[in-house]
Amino acid sequence: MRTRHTAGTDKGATRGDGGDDGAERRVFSRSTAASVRSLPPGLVHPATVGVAAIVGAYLHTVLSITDIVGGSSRIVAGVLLAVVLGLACSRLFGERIVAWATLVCLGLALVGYYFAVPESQRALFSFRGVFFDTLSFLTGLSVLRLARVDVWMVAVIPVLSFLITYLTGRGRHVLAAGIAGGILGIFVLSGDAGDAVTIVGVLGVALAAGATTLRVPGGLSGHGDTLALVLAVMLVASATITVIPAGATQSWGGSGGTPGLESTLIDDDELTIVGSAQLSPEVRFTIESDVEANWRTGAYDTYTGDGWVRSGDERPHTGALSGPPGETVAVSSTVVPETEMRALPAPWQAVQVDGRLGESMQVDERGTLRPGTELLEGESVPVESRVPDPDPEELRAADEASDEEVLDRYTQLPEDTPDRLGERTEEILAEADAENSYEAAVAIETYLIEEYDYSLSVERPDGDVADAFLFEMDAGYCTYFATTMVAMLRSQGVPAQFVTGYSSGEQVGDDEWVVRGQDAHAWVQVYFPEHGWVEFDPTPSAERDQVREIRLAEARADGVAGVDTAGSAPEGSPTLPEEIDADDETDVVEESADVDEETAADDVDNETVDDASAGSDIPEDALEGIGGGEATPDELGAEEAVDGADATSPTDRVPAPSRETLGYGLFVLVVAVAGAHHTGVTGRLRFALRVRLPARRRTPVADAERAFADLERLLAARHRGRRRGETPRSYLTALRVRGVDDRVHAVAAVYERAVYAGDVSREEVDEARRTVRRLAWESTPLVGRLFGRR
Amino acid sequence: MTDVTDTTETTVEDDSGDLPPFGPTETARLTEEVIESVEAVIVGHRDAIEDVIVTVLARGHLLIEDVPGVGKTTLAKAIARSFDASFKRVQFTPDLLPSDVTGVNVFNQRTEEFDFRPGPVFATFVLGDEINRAPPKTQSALLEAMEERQVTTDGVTRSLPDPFCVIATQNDVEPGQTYELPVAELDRFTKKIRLGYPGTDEEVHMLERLVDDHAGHPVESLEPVASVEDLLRARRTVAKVEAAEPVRAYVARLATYTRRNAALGVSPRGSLALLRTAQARAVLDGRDYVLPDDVQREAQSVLAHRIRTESGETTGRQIVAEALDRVDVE
Repeated sequence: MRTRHTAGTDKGATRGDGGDDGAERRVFSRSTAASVRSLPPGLVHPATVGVAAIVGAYLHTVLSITDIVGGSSRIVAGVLLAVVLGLACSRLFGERIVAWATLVCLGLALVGYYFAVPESQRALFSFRGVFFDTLSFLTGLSVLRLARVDVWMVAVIPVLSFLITYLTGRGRHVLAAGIAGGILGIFVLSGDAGDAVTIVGVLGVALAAGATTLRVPGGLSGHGDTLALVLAVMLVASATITVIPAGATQSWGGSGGTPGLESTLIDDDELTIVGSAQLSPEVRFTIESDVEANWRTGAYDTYTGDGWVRSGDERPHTGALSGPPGETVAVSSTVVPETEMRALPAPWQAVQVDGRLGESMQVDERGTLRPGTELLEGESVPVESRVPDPDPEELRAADEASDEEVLDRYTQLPEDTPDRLGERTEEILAEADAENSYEAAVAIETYLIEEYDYSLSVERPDGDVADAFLFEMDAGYCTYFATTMVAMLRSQGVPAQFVTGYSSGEQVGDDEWVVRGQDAHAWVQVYFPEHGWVEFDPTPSAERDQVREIRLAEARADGVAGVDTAGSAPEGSPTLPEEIDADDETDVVEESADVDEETAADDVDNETVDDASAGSDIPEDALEGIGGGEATPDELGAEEAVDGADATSPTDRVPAPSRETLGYGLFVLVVAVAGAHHTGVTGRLRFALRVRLPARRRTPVADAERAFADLERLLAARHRGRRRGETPRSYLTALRVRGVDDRVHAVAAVYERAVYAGDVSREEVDEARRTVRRLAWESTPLVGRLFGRR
Repeated sequence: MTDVTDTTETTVEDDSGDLPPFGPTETARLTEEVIESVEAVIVGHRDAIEDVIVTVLARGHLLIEDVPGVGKTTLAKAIARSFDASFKRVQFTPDLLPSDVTGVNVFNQRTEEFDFRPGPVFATFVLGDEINRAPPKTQSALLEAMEERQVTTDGVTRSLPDPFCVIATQNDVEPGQTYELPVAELDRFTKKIRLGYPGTDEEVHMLERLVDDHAGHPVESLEPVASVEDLLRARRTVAKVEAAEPVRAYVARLATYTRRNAALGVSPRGSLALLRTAQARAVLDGRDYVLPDDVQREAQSVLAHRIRTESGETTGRQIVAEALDRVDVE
């Protein structure tokens, strides 16, 4: 005993030493393994594919945005760095440390962003503003509207990408997918992420979550088919239904009818350039004004290559704005809407609104005064404007714009703008001997007017609209002309913006104009230090006027309602297009020439962004919401419908389910049927009927088998199914303790004899079938009471 | 020979072909009488008695494995007496010779010829006590007799009586001093059962009966309730019991399962034995057709001892239990 005991002690001691050695060895081998297998364990998992898909989706969106506002290379570099760091940290640091570090970094990034925003705009920051901004982003406004969105992205995206990579490396795929999905979700809600990107993201989330859930050994192989089915259904469903508020690819001009020109311009903060447009001859408002002008409603600063976005905030404003810095002429005008309007058309620059609306005006960063509430039909809205009146010589002599903030914002072009745009512009300017911004603007304006025709029937070009118009198209309408001119000016470093509103319309008195939907217009403002924004109009106005005249005459001839006001109706019979004679056309041309001159030389507005931020000037309305539309796609669709109704017979517009609705309905039907089949509802229904009704006779053995099978299903529903390895007899015996009716044994006996003895009589089988039917009826709720149970 | 209509029916040499079979109920009544008769002697072993009768009706042989003193010998003797059949007992010992079992030729001085002196194997019921204590050569003499139902001595083949049933017992108390039966020989036993101890009440009842009875052991005074002819007719009834295709398929599935899940599964001889005992079991229940329930009832005692597992973790009984649980009945 003693010896054994001693030996045991020794052995124990040895084992202890060995254990220590083992621990050291284990540590060593782990570090060796780490250096050999440098990938974090979490990375080698199917769920990583899902996370990568989401990250790819939001990076795609981010890059498509930075493509417009610049900074793609910085984002890419930042994200790559973040990924490397994230993977490295996933091996080195615990989650708590990293979470705190990420929070701190995010905070620093946001502070950095705050200081990157120009001081003038910083003054606009308020909790209320941030709240409403957030709200509007989440309801379909592009993040492009955010001031210095490029800085925001460089600050935020890499930090979050780091966190996502870190979590993926740690094997926390669901959390990583959640964060990445959140980022993508913001872009989806803001409408920057397209349908395809959204679907990729959603599938990524599902894949990450699914693959993680199935991480148990064999889970993925066991339920992989279910996961694949779910993913497939999601794919099909999302391809069929689109409930995203404003998908970026959801250009309503893309399919269906031809949109109205007005509706394409009366977009809200985002404007998508579309193909062919129609003219609505309906009267929108009448305006009394001291001067004839383009009635401006709004302006856009960010060019996306296929449209325009208005960035920055609005703030409430009462009292008068200071107006443009240079010489100005005070102009009073009175707008009388003939329909509800959300925008306030007025000569540039409106500085004060009196009356009811004056209390609720908003001013944006471009000095546009915008009404806080809708303009009501018939309401009289007095507007004071200060119209710039610069001498062309002064403009020629004006300094080149040097304000960094203005230059940065108003010479923005998408990064993928082809170089040939700038090169062609240079050639044009060289040919015209343009030596300063003013001459450049005039040269470009002249070039566009002379070289291109006016047409509302155009095919929306792929890619950059300005480039396509300049090189590939030979006709277009105001949106194309103005877009191209702004892009050309910006390529030469001349600050310019895209302006929308209405042209002067039909003059019905000395100082009164009737303005219709078809008068919706887009033109250009060029910035000159000391003078502010000066208007240019590159659209060939003669041709444009002619098109509008014809449209109006047609509408009058067709008796379309709302085309005329009391003052505008022609005295004689409706003017038919044929009746426009040569004189009329000549007049139109002359008049438009006047307008051009006025636009170029006299109609000058001044606004600097500094002024705007100081809060002292510039009312300016986007051509917004006339006809009541806040620019969600649906309402734009409604606008389109109105215009469509003008052109086509009203009966064509009988409400019919849209293709989406039909597709959705079909999908729901298919899923319902498949689901019912899958869950066995149809089978149960069929069984429920069959088991209660007398059925056609077959051979006694087959009938006995069916009777017992029915009995089994009845019992399975009430008690439990027969297990494998359980004979009919032992099954019923086991159920006896549960109070099963004794009649079942008779059925089973018949079945046994039928199957195992092959000896059963017709009468016995029929009796068994009757018994089963009776049992089925007795087990039916309510009905069963009629049968009574002994 | 009787008409063989069903393939499952077994064709066994049947010397009494002119005896008509009983009806199923008649057979059931007969077996019930025998069981009651034996129960009067062996208390609390109804299942074991039924097992013996099933084995006899299925033309098989029985192996009883248990501790000494639970009534193995009494059981065998009581069955034999109930059928009014001849009974011989062989106590297997390490020095037992094959000829001690089968019989020897003895030179007859008077006739100057060799006379055959039959061994104990020449009886309707042969009890081989503690068969695992004899060396393999002697064991195999008995086992050969079981299989062939004849004995060959010095070139002369002699048929054994019909019916012929061996009830062997095996002692598992002293494994060190025994010769374990090889699987191939175990396979020749249709069933292998354990008796087990009686319950306390039953043991009290037994003690009371044995002590009160001054006329000796009650088995000695057991009166026959049936004849060997009855036994033969009952056997023919069993052979005619309907075993429908679903039952045959079920038996085959069970056998297949054991082959897939054990190192050595059930042999075809085993599945045949299972079907035969199921037929006998059906007759005990008064039916002339086999139910899966009969198969399940017999499966453990017929199959378990034929299965060899790789490790000690699972036994043949466990494999059979699994098979019954997992193999579809229909």
